[in-house]
Amino acid sequence: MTDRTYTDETLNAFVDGELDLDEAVEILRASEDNDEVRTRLCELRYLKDMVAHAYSEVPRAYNDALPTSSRTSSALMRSVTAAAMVAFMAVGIGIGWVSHEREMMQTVAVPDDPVFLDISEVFSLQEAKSAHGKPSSIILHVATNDRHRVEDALAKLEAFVDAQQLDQQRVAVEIVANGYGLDLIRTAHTPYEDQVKQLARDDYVTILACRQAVQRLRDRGIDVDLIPEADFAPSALDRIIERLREGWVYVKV
Amino acid sequence: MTQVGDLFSRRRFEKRLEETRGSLYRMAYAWCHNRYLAEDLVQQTMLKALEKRNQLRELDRLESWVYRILANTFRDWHRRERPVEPLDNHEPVDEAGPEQAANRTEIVERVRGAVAGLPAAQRQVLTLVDLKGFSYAETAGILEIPIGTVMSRLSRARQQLKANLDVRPGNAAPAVRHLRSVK
Repeated sequence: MTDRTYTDETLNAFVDGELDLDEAVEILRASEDNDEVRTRLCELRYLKDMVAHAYSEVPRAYNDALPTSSRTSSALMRSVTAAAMVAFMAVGIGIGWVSHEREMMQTVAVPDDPVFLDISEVFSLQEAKSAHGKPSSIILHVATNDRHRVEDALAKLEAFVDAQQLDQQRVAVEIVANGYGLDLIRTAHTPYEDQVKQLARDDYVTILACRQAVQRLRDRGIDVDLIPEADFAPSALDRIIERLREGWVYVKV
Repeated sequence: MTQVGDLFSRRRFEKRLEETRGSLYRMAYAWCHNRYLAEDLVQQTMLKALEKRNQLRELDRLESWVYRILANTFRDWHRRERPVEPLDNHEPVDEAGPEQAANRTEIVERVRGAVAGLPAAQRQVLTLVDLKGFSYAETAGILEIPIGTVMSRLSRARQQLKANLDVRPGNAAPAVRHLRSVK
């Protein structure tokens, strides 16, 4: 016997607790009288439980050495929360981030008012200075190889560096590249090698590659040769958070 | 708001944001089945949440607000870069030795494989409802789609899962009664 009196949407809504009371009672009664409805409900419930179960524990990105059974997501969440709570009590304000390389939870504090500026506004020396009433260093996050955006950023950065050559209080700029942004400093890929090298000659400009992003490419068998002026940050995003904590201005290309 | 009040509010925001990290990662992993990408998506999401903190008017809405940021981050990535890396296949799910653990691992891998095989839009709806327990209305808000679309995608997702996991073959349908209302 087949019975499609109730649509799949309706039975899904029942299983998901989305029906109002009258409708839910109606479905319950139907399931008592009708094997087909009961079976469909059981299947949907079973599917729902299986999906939830399949992701109750998921592999972490950077702690593979640890047994997953001891790093369940709920346990991990508890440890994050506990670590964060300790940090909040200790430093008053903070937010936890996973420290991938050390395979442990680390909390860092961000300033009360982290500064995120658009690239169109940040390369005004005045903007950088007014953010905290004094020169704020800038962390420039390059995560794209979009030619227009990268060229625009480089042009503005060059103008910015030139403009402050005579300034008493220099503003440090740290360029952190990850993802497709690595192309900016990959010898075989960058069309901007001369520009980047010229920028790197300035004592106040630092160029960093995300070690995780580089490693990920190498894991996939891709050769990654970086220009010698580039150094490594263990993780681009952890570096950004660290700089934000120190009061730097964040700009994303 | 006073400075003290503002500071208190900011601390509560950051605490609540941090508390979402574990479930955000689980969701991101269920969407992309790549742990490195999931980690990146979550970090980008949290960075954006910090940046856009002032856009959140009610702290009680933080969770669905953050998931909306995650959904947008995932959508942007999906549009931009399309999946190129293989899924995290054959991940050891359980390191315990008993046969029960082996069976469990096999089931989990099968289910993850079936979920990964769904279209991304269906996968997102399914996992928001089943993993996180979001209501249809919340899911619609997070993904910025009509509630009817949530229901139809969820239905199609479960139908396909049922077929792929061989839970039980479906049957033909005569008369159909439609749902009157959803909470």
